Amino acid sequence: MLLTLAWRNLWRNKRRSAIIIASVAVGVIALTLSDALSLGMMHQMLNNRIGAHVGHIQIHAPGFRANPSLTALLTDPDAIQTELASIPAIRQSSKRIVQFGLLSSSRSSAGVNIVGIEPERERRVSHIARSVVEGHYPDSSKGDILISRHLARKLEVELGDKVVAMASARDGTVGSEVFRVCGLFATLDAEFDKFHVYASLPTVGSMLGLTKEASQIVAIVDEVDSVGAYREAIQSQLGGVLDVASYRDLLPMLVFQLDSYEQLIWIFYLIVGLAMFFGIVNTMLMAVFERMHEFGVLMSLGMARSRMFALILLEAILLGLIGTLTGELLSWLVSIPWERYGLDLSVFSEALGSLGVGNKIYPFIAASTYLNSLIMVPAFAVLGALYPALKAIRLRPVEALRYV
Amino acid sequence: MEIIRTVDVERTYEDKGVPVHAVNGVNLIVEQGEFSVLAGASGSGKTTLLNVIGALDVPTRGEVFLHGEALSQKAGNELSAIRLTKIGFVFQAYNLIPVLSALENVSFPMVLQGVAASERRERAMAILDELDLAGLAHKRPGAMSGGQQQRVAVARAIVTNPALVLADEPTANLDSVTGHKLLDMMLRLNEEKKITFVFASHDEKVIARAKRLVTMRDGQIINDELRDGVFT
Amino acid sequence: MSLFLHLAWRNLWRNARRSSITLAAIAFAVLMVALQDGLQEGTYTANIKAAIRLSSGYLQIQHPAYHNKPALRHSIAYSDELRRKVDSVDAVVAYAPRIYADGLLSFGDQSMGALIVGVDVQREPLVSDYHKKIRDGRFPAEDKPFEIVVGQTLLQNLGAKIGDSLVVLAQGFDGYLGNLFFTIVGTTKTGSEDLDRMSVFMPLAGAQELLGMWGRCSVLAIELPRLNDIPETKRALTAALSENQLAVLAWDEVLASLKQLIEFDQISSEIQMLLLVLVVAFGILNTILMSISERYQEFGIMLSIGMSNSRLVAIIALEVVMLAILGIFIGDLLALGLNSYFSVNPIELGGEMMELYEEYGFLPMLKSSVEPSIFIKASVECLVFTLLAALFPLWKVYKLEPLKGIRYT
Repeated sequence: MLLTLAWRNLWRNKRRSAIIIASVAVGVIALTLSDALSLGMMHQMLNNRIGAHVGHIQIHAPGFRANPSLTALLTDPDAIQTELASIPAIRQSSKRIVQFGLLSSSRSSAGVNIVGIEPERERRVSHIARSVVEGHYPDSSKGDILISRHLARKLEVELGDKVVAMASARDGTVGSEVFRVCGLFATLDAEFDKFHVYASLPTVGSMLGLTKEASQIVAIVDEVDSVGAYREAIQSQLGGVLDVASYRDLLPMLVFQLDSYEQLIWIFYLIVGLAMFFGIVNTMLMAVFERMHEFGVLMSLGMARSRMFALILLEAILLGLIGTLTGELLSWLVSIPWERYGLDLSVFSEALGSLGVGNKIYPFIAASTYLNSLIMVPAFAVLGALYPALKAIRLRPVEALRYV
Repeated sequence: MEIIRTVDVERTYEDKGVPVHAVNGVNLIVEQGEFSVLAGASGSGKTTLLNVIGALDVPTRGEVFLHGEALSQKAGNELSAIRLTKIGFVFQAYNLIPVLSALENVSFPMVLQGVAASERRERAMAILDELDLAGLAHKRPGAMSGGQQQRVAVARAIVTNPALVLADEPTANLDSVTGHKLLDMMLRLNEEKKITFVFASHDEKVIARAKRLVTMRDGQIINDELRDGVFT
Repeated sequence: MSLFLHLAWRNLWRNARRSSITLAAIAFAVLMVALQDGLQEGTYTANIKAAIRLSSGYLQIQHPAYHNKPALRHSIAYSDELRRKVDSVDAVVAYAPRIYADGLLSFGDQSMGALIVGVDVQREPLVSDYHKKIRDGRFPAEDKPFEIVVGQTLLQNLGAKIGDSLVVLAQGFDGYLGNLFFTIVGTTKTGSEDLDRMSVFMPLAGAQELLGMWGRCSVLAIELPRLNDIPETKRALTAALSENQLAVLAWDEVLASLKQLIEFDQISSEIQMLLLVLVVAFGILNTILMSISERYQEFGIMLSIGMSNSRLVAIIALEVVMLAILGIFIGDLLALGLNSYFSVNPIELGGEMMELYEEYGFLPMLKSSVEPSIFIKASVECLVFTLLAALFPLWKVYKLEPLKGIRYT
């Protein structure tokens, strides 16, 4: 019944209520959409890195991650891969050799990570294959190398041109190999593109004096959210000797960014809440004073003060809820075309490329985004109504009745 | 049976630093079945006395007994409960909750008491019927005339079967025909159902109908006489 | 006029509580905008200056094709003529030639990729802060072309230490591979993960020897007194060098991604702040509407004794403006206080936050600024929104008829 009263009281002054609802809705839209954008960008950054190269799980020999070199290699990667095949959660795995070296053309040279891959298996753990824009993905033929369009420009080479790769081999000498550019790729991550080139694993291995060793094994799992558990399972299954890392360990900064965002966003909620707060305090104060005589009548009827207090707060909660739902509805409507077409920010392509995001940003709206607003925003509305409600119940019935 | 007894009640308040003795030592007993009017010029203290009797205001000195219980001993929520169950009010204007219909307004005290919905509806409709207000049941105060609003207010005041109904200048905003009708209704309730009424009014029509006329001046009772109810 | 001011002022304080809350709302809006802008301005400027002093310099003179294809082929002749022409431009405080190349470092059986930076040991400190970032050891000496400074992380990964010799392998200007021994004399900690993990510094002469680039350099970095000098100096340099077919780039062209990051951040915050002010404006709209309707009777009477609607509107507009200005003033004062505190005592970020910022190449701190433009912008923005909020209520007063006002309940 209190609810009925509160609800009907809202509509006594439609314009006033509408304005409060509008102000709340605008605040909620600001919160939701900026959340969607930021989270969208961060998730894109993370997923691009995972998809381009990092994968969900990587296995190395101990010490490799701290100091990537040929002194810490996996001695029997094939055996590891056989082990992995027996774990149902792992969808796919592939081995790689990774070594920093110099790639030279006749015109120029660049320092790159030379990545030796098993082309078919690699295709299923990363999306480099899908990022090929010219030419073709390396097959197992010996001399193919896949470089980025970026790098091709820097080295001033085109498809079919020859390049020389040089890197430190296992025995300390400098190994080198001539390659032909078989394809050009472009991912959304400009920094990544500049520094990675792909060739077949056996070729790279022989260039570096390796037989069956590999630098790392990359694996993709089914349930990304359970990657932590999988990591432990794999670690124990492999005897606990090897370094098994999930993307959370491999991309700690991005993970940290996502995690800390959750905490920092509260500040913005607070600010928007305060912005609403002032408007609500004033509006409810005036509404309370307008109805003071009525409150006197209610008290004369025997309505307890606590109930009157609750009534006023209830009106504020309702306004807050309606405003929040309206704002969320509008945000959702905006997000539909956004999710479909993405937000084209190519004017910032350099910046976005350096962050590894790509020119089109897609929103990320989790249920938690909606839920947070639904709880926080009406709470601020209630805070705004506290002082007015206290004013309403302070008076003795006679004093309230004296109000005109 | 004695319903109200005031003992040396005083109510003083400050008006810009000057103390005003609105009620200045009043001893009054109100018995069941009375149809009494507190009369006097404005400033005589009649409204203040009415408010004190009705637990809307607290005397500065003295005591008010309701059914033998001292009101000064009661805490805030006890007074609320007393106003809910034992006393009914009719004010000069703006008696009704604007967003509720007549039926809902009359039901409201029962809602506060926790009465079941079906019983509420029944009793409220019954009262409205009795007072010839059934047609207004689903109308809001905004759609009623002044007279209709006052009559619905009376309906609400009696729906909980209070010990007494207090009315503060109930006819002041009404034209004389409507005012008469209102008073007729209240008189009928008093005679048929033995409901006790105490008015504060300076309206001739009200005074004329008083079975007991208590005249006040400067916060004190200067005359207290019983009369036969006379219709002028 | 002063009577009206007096009247407007007293009207404001008829309901002190309401006016105070409205003041607080306006002050809050101004404070938020100015605080946000201050922190952005201060932090960006600090980051830009750091990037300039650690990476690009205020301006760079390059071969026109270098920016898109940074090859040794697109290097410039570090000639006397060039030096003379650059000196001729007044604003130029200093300049320094640099060579950038990719190379491979070999130490024992470890090899790591590196970014080779050849610098003029005398001139470089005038243009950048590299020499200040030496953690251990020292910067190379001028007469020792084969001394080298290695980034801290790189040194660790190589397993080398100061005093060791390593081999630097790189493809030279003519396409052939050069390799030379260099002695490690120092290590740097620049605060930028990239630099520490990948760069080595050597004297220009050493780089020129290694890469076969005698008399040449990749870029000429220019130092100026202030950021504001950039456009003018760029123009002057371009003019002076017009016949040499050299490109003059400002820092934001060299570090395009940093500039865009800043712009992107600015625009998204701008939108957020605008929405915030809008929220406050709605509250003000309601407040003004309600306080006006409370005074309808009073207005009705004023209109009936002969005051024109426009005059009445002007009086109320005056009240709104006074309130707004007062609120803005308070907000600006608070913002000035906070901004000056944070411009002198920036918020230092620690722990993982610090690592995160450094990973992206940013200074791990938030610094504010007291540029007047910040406060002016915040004030104007809030004033405009407040006036917009007042439009509808003022319109209602404009349309008010005397009797309707008097009879209003």
